[in-house]
Amino acid sequence: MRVFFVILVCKLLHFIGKLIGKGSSLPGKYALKLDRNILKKIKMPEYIIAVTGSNGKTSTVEMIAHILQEGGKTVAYNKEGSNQIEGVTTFILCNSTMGGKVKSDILLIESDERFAQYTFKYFTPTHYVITNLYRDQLTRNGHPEWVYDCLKNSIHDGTQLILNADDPLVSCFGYGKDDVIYFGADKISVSHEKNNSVYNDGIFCPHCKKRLSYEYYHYNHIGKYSCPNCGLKRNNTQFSVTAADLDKGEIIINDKSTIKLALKSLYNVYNILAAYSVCSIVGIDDATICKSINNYVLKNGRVIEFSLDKRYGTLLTSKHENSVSYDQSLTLAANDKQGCDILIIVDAISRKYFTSDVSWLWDIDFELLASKNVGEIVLAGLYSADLQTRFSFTGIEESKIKAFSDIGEAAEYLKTSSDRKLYVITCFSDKGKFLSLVKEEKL
Amino acid sequence: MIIKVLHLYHDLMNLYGEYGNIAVLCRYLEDAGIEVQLDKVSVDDSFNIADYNFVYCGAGTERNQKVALADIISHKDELKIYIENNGTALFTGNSLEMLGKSICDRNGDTFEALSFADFYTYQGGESYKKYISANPNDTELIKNDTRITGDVIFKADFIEKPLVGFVNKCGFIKGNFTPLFNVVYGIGNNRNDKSDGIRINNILGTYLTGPILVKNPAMLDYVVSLITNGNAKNQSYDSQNRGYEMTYRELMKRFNTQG
Repeated sequence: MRVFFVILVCKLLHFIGKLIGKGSSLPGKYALKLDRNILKKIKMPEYIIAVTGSNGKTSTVEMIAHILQEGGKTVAYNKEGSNQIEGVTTFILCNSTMGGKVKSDILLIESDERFAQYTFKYFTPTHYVITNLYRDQLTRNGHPEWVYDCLKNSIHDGTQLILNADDPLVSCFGYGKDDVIYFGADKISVSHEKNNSVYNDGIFCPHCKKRLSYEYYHYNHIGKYSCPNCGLKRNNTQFSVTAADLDKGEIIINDKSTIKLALKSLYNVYNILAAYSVCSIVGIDDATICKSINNYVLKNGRVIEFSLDKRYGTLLTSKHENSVSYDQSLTLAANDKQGCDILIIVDAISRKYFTSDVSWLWDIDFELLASKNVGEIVLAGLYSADLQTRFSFTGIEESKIKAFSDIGEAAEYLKTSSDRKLYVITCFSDKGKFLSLVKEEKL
Repeated sequence: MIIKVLHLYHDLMNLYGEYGNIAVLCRYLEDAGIEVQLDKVSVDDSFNIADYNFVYCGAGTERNQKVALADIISHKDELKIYIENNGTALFTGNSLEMLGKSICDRNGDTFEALSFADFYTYQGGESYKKYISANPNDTELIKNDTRITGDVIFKADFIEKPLVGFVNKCGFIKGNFTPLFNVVYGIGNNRNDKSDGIRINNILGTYLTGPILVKNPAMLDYVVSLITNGNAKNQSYDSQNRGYEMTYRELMKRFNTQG
């Protein structure tokens, strides 16, 4: 099958798909049917950057693309978010010439953790960023070690790994490899000696399964660890957050580069650091990186400002089935000294597949909301009863909690319940149901 | 009455939310006016199973399961007497696999297990190949080396309502044993056996994963009645009951439309 023909089919299908509003993975699916090895035949650019991990892929990729473009590079990336092989095939072929050459200077790929092994059979990234491995969508993913084994199959010689040194499981990808760059956060203002999460996936060494010891934690199992038994330890980092003031919204990288944060969460800091690292490695100068990432507001719509009648609020898109993502949103809201009310919506657990499993609610640290900054907590959606049961174990007074199975009723109630700022914590699958009831405000 | 509860390998066999089982159980007992003593133990801790009225172990990663297995083997004699004396225990997810003869992992390595029941566990990959070569005519085998994750409905005649929940595992078990539940929808012990889990006296093992006693108030009632010989006053929690009804309804809707 001629490359020309496969690319033509893919581009046509993509064009038609856009007109009728269809997803971006279908054209790639047909292209792969025509020629399973099509990606092997494409002439790739000098740099192929891949990003994977449980959390932060989309945000990190968006920031990398932005920095590279500000640095004068042309970048092709899967901004439509399809990150399995079909979606990746679509965007690569659509960004190629009819002769089969990628048109941009850099190919940037967000890749699904479990399916990366299939994508990178056909070509290998020059730079491979792995952000973290958390309990994420376990109804599909099994558990982090299962994902680790899948992901390991996607790593080949000739790729430089760029790893989060602060995640013990992720750091294992670098075991016995030479071409590895680590990034991480030093002991900073938000580091703590104890792990305060509901669970701790850093108790046992991922390598030898004896107990790890931690000098400090940043959150969950992310921190500075060492294994007294086998010697696994947090590696020295080439790219480090050397200081951070989250109240002020400022971090310093490698003692020299100050970056202001539009989103004051540590979670976001790691995404910025990963983007900084890889852009620096491919030759973007420090000043350009800092300038482009300073106060950068993500365009992927994860933080949305809105008004509900006279009330003002922020929706923090969090991932259902992902307790670390929820914990970060809860921390952000609970730390708002202005005082706030909280709305949590669990209505459809996923928009992509069916499950009724709410085990993950028990991994979320809802106890964070036992903060004096938090007024009322409203629980809404089909699974509001399960949320109520979970909240009955948080120690938060029952009088502060209200539950509605209907999202509209919850919104109606909130219109007049108080004038405090409202934080809405929910997932992609459910946020539209709330946003259709409010007025979105441009930042 | 004092009930002593032992949560085994609480920080190792904790795939997700398993502590919820202990949380609702202890609350139930306390609300029924019973004093509860909870001990959470892990590898290398010293404990004697004979001291307890209820023993719980949750699901873990395959690697963590092997660590727990190596440790629990040293308590084999205590656990044997506990079972013979009709002590109550709950093993959820892959922790039930520790009760069988052996576990063969995806690399083909075999780990000797507690041997309280006559069954063997196969965890994908090379273990499937071994199984096929020993049982060439067995068509029940799960062929793909993938993980089995999915919503399920099980039932049992000793529990008032059907059970709802989720299975997240890569092992299947084969052998001669008494299963715990019947599969109504989804996957149990293996693809074609319409049974889930294992029962040895009052030792309950099920592949249901996570906080199953939170999701299934009727099963919580049953476990409490075993622990207390029916001497605890029945407790009922409104949000827990509504959560169950809603999940059962959603699952039935789903499974009925799938045919």
